[in-house]
Amino acid sequence: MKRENFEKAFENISDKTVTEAVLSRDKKRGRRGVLAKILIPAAILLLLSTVLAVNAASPVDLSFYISASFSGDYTMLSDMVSMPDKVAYRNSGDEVRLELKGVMGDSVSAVIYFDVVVSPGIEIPERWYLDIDYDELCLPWNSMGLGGSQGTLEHTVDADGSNRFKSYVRVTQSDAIMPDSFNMSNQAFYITLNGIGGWKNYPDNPERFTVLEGKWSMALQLNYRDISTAYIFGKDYIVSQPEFVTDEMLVSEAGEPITLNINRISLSPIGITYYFSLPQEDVDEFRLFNSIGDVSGVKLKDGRIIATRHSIFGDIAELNSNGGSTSGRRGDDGRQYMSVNLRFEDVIDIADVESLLISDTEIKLGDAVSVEKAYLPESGETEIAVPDGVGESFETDVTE
Amino acid sequence: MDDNEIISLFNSRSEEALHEITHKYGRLLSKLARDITGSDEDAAECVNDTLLALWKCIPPEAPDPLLAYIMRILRNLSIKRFRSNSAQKRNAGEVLCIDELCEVLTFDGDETDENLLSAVIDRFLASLKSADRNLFVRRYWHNESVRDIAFGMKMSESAVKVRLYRLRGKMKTHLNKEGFNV
Repeated sequence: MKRENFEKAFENISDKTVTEAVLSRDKKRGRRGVLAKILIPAAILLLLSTVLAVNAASPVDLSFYISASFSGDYTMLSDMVSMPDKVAYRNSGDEVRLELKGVMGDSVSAVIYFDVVVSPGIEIPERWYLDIDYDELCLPWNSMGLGGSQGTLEHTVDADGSNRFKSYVRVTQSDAIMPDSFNMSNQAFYITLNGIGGWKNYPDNPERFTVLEGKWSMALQLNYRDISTAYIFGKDYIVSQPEFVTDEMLVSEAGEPITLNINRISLSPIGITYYFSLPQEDVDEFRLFNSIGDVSGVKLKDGRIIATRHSIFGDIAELNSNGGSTSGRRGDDGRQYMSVNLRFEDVIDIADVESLLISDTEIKLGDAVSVEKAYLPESGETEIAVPDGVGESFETDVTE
Repeated sequence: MDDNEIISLFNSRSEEALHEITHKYGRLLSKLARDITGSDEDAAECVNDTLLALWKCIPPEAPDPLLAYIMRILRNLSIKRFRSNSAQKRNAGEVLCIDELCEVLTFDGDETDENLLSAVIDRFLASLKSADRNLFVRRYWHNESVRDIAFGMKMSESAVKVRLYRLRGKMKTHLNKEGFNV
């Protein structure tokens, strides 16, 4: 082959692929501003800025290591902020500390809650971010990719004047959604953080810049009980595919309504997973992604509507295959079997949920033909396979 | 205004068609051209040349989808501009992203059916998850920087690099399986 042949052939890839990439680019950017405002955790950023201030003179290895397990039956956030003695990291000057509070989740996602406590007198800069290496965020025994997000739930001031930020990191299966064969709970896993950065020229022309290069590694066991509930349907629902705005330049056209046979819906306080099938000829993943993903939510019994969101890292809401006993996505019946997982911004009480909303279609939970409790893995300690280098500074860094 | 209406404007030889394209896609086209040429000035010229090309080609062409058609023209013109600048040593040693992709392939100099190869590449891309496909195309077709991709997809730059590395390897394997000795 000549290189020119390859370049010419690559240039001539399909119009659909070229356009999809363009649309994805603008779509992601469209989300960024909103999500950044909502999700970028000021508390974590402030913590890190403080760490920066402490270490500005001579950057040091800030590695730390958390070894903790949890066995709580968490149903709501209030149940989770009750572990005040779990101090995961405290720097030597006592200006900042991280208090691990708990973990909860379902088969697809886990949320790790912690408080960031900043001592009085620390100047709090505005826009910082924690550079989590999401591509390396994985289960030690499995190369399955995970998406992630981070956020702050509440800011309070302690009696001594310390700023306390209730924060979380969410980790989510991103390469596949296969709750029947894999469950996030009770798994050992680790996160690697690659440093601290900041934004400038925000929001008009935001640019990232490196604030502090360092390395943080955290390993822990996701020893929680899957608290999701599965609603079995096996019913057809007609779902419209409205136009979606990628930005002021790119507006899609509306698609034809499609009929989804919804087999099962798994609902937890942090997200929803839909399992459905549709005729092969109706499959347009990109449009489905937008129709289902961008216009969905839950309706509570008091009438309020809580929107679901895509993962800010994108992969969570990708339409993934769940062929079950079939090979790949295509079932023996010629239909396409798919699943999609969406998350809530905050933890909700699923007892308050009356129905689910996809586009303009309402799915009443009462219409389910049966209800199944989540898969409950056996709890217990799992040996954590800590990667090389992780935890080396644990003994010296942690003062409690 | 939808693309069909813009085509109609071209067909009636109304310059409004060019205004509509600039209004609808202008920022996007400037970004693509700038990603390839690395220069605002060159990018602006490439966009203008693209508009001129559209004016000449439509009609008789009636491209559908219009956006992909425009981007192909713009990409070609921008790459030509980049190559020209390289020949004049005005690019300070910069390379196109496609060069990064070509580095993992072995070229023996034999002629290859480009249409067949293009179909094989399309099948490879179709086999990827959409996130990976978009990542790959944004890097190697749209010539987007790792930094911008990381920013847009909320990934770290190292994560983007690692994923691209894996995808390049996958593509090489796919081409070899399909009978192309690369």
